Amino acid sequence: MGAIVSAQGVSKIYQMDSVQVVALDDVSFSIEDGEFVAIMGPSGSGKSTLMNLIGCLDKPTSGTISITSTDISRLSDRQLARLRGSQIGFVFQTFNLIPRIDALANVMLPMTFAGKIPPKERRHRAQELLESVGLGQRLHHLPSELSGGERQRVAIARALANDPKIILADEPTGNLDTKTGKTILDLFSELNRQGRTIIVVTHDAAVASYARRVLHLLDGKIVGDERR
Amino acid sequence: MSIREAFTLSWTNIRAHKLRNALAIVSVTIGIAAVIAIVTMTTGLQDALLDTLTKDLLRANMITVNVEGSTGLFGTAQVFSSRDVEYLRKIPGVKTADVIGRVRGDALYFNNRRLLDATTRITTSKDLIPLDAGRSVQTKGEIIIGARIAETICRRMIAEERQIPENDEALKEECKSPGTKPELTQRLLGQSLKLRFLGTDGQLSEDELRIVGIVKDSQFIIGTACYVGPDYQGFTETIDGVEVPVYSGVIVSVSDLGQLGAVKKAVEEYFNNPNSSDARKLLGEEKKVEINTLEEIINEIKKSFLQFTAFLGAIALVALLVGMIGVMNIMLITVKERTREIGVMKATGATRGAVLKLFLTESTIICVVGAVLGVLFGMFLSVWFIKLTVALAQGLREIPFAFVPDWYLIAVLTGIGVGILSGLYPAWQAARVNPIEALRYE
Repeated sequence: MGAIVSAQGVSKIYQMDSVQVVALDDVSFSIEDGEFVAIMGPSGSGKSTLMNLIGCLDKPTSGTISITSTDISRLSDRQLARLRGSQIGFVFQTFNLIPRIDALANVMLPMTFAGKIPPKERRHRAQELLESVGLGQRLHHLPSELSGGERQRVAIARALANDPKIILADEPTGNLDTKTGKTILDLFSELNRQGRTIIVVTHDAAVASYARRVLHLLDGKIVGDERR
Repeated sequence: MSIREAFTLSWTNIRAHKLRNALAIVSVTIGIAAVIAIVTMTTGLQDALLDTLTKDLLRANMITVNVEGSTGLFGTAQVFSSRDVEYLRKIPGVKTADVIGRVRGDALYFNNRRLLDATTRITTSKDLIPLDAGRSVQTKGEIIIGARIAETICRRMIAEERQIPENDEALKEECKSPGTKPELTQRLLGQSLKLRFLGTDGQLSEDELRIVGIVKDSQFIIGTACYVGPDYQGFTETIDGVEVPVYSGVIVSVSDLGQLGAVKKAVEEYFNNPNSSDARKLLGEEKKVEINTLEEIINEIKKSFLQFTAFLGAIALVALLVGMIGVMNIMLITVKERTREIGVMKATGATRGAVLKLFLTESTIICVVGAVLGVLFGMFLSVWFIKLTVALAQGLREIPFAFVPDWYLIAVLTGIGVGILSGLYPAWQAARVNPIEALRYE
């Protein structure tokens, strides 16, 4: 198993008016293929910035960060989008489903953007994915017709649409009750058992307890790398 | 993302905001409808005019000769002498040369009451004036009467019989276009009119004329004009010491269409030469003699109509521009509202191009739907425009409804163009949305 995420001396500095804000300060780490990692830290610790970098939504100010052996700082906007579409599946705290289209269409959307899966197979694949997260009976429901847990499961199915190497989840249980949150985390564990790399950004220790490795961030630095 | 996928997704988005997008569609519809209505109407008017001209008045083998600035064939300046006409008849290839002129000091009477509107004209042509009934003038003592004059005579006869007023509305209706009603035609033909006129000697003369024909009732043929033969000609000019009768226009027809160009050239040479034609001697350098073939007249009319259409079309385009701004406005709101969604789409792999395509497709759908509805609404509107114009403009009686398929295509293409133009800036805004900020956007 090789490194799927590799960061070398990564810094991210934001210019805010005349003040420079150092969000990440010379961070180095690597995540192996198949790991379940939680990134923890209080707000302002830089975990969102790190998530944006791993998610190819942003580029570092200095240092290199490679996703599946590709250095993202050298990629164009378009290449970044392609890499996101094919290698990373996002799961957000607020689900972020498109409200006007049904569950099936939401899951098909990333396939449409990536164009990796032939159009004829998309519907079938989306259906299979929704069935695998236990929503076989909810294919044609709009997001507003689904419960919070169900919405998050649609979001997970959507994250899996293009069969990415990495699932990147930002506080995935933040908007769910404990019981529902547990089923979502169980789903992540299951996906991890199937070989997928899971990276969860959270400040909730209960969530982090599902991970087999926890990276602790504070003031833009990694202050702890705990393996269980 | 294929066009089809973009279309499906955009259509879903449009349907999600029915009222707002319907209003945007309406704004485009109004602009396109205005253009289509105007084009339909002017084309209808042009078709009607050309139809009268080509079917009723002129034939392809004719060359019209009149003085610059005269309306149609009936100029006011009487400059073409009988000697000019004789010369034209001798040009090789010429079949006939007929004159058109006015009766000097003309007054027309029916039952000793003057027909106030009537003007009497002279023509030697047997087939120039189209008729609804009867035949053309063949000898002295015969007249063909215009449709309006025929109506007046008809009303006078019936009103007297029934002892009702002449301006009775039902009677007016009954006497409309009498040339097309056999029972009225029968009564009109053979009636006699009295013509008072000044002869070549300047003396007031009188003659009894028998109605032998009724001029075709058409909006482009003057309904008050009546026609007699050359016997009542009274205008003369003294040229080179000789007094000769003069006319306002000449119509030359050729026996073979192939000779039209050559004959026209010969006619032009004759009238341009300062010493050869009487007309040129009378006109001096003041005015030109216009020599036209049917084709040239048609082209001239088409050109004027095109200018007219372009002028009105430019006004309608303003409406379209307003519509375009409306669509742009809606699209900007849409982009703003969907900022977070754009972030999600980008996070799930949408490139800038895909986002751009999605929003452009949306504005294009709005505009194309607007354009198609605009074409339909424009066709409907033109029917009302036509009715309104006919009601307001005197003399116009009908404008046929014209199908303008070229313009329908232009309208839809314009719709696509307007859609892309109005969507370009909002779509560009959407494409450059920063996904990180967009995901945080509330």
